[in-house]
Amino acid sequence: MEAYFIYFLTLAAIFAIGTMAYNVSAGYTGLFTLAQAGLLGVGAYTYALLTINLHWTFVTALAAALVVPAIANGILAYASKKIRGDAFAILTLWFGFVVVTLFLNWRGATRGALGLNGIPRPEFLDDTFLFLLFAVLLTALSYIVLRRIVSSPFGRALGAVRDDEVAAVALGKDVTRLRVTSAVVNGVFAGLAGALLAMFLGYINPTLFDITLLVQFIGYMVVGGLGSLEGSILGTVLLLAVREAIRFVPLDPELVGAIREIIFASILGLVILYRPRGLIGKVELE
Amino acid sequence: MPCPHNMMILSVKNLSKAFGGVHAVDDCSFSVESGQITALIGPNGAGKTTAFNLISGLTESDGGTVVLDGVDLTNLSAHRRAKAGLSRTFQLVRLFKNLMIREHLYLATSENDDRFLASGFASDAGHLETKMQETLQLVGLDKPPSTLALELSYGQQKILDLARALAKPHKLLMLDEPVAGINPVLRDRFKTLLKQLKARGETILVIEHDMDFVRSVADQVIVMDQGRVLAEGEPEAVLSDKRVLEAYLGT
Repeated sequence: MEAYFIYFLTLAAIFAIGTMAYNVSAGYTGLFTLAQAGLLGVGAYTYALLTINLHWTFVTALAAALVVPAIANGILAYASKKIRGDAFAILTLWFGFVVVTLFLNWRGATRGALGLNGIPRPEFLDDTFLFLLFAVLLTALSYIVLRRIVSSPFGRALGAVRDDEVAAVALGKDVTRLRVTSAVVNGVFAGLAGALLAMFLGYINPTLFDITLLVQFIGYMVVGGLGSLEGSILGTVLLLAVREAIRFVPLDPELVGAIREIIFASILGLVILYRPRGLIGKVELE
Repeated sequence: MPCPHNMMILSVKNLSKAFGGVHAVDDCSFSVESGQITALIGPNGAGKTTAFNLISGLTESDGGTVVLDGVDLTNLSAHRRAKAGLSRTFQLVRLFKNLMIREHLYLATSENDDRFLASGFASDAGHLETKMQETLQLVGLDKPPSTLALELSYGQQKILDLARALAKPHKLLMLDEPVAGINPVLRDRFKTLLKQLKARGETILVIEHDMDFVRSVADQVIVMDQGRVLAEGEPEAVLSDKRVLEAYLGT
């Protein structure tokens, strides 16, 4: 039981980083992207491929895992200059599909659906408790850095872009630059979460990063509340706990997966209907 | 920001914009004198707001030039035009609804907050609070600065919109129907305020439908009709011009 608890908390810490990063784009900047699972995937695969195939060290591979999704997300946000609203959501959803398809088909490097195992990590992280401490430390650091960013003058300008782009432009704000930088920040931390996940599980495959993960992140972020980093942590921990708790309910093993998703979707639906700001969010979901 | 008298701060030449087959602004030229209040008037659909959007760069023009204080803005994007010294309000108020009054004014005064390396980890400079207090006092918005924009009444939103435009560093203040839809008491306050602003050296270009308001505040009037400048000059002369009356009354 203790091992399971450590596993749960580590996973929650890693996902909380991904949710906070997502909130920088969707909650603080108003750029509702659907690329989040893909971004984590890019981070995870960058770390895994570079360490396994090219024998890069932990630090350099981790650095690359932050940079690659950041660049990808920056490019996506740049496209938002011309592609807006629903079309932008579709574009970012498509990005997620492209990423998963790439991991599936680039067998020479990724072994396709078989996935990559034996992903290297520093020796001290072989101890599950130390890994938990490491993950919690990085979650805390991410929180501190992101809190600093969203509370800065730059963070306030992101809020202006979210609430009224035209008015922000009329105040002389470079809206494209703000969106792209915010997406880069999201990409860096999404990449960190992805790389940590790869290290933690020691094994990744393409389906880990498909739409199921995206829906989870939307749930964590929306339930916790848009425009609140604390909400992202809270939402991740609570909803992940609900998902995990269902494991212990005696249900038909063939149905447990579907029941879990139905419960998850119901919670999300109720929150959207009755509490559009989530538990402690600052911005309503529209 | 006192400027020498009789200097043209804004010069618009041959500005044009067609939406489909409709010439919203058609070869429109006019200029705005420094230190004065210039009213842009005309019947509905005359192209006044389109002209504002073309000047501020929010709408791309089909042709023509816009020069502000000797700087050619024609090929600049909207945010660069704003940085060059244009500040404006909107006919339908556009506030940042999830942000506080304080944040609106801080945003207006800050100049490098769209640059991550300059401001992503920075704190607010002390002068922002002073500037906010000054501006709020000037416009008479007596709500706590921590009030969210979405909690304000329509009149208060109009005041905050104006305050934000004032707090933004600018050479020309462009107001799009500042008193539309607000009560007579507030309307009188805006009248007084505009005169105070002029006395402080502000140059103001204002779109307004309320002729009483125009008569009492404007030094110059530009009349637009069907995308063109129909007449310009001092209020009394222009407002008694036969062509202007015809355009307004349709006779």
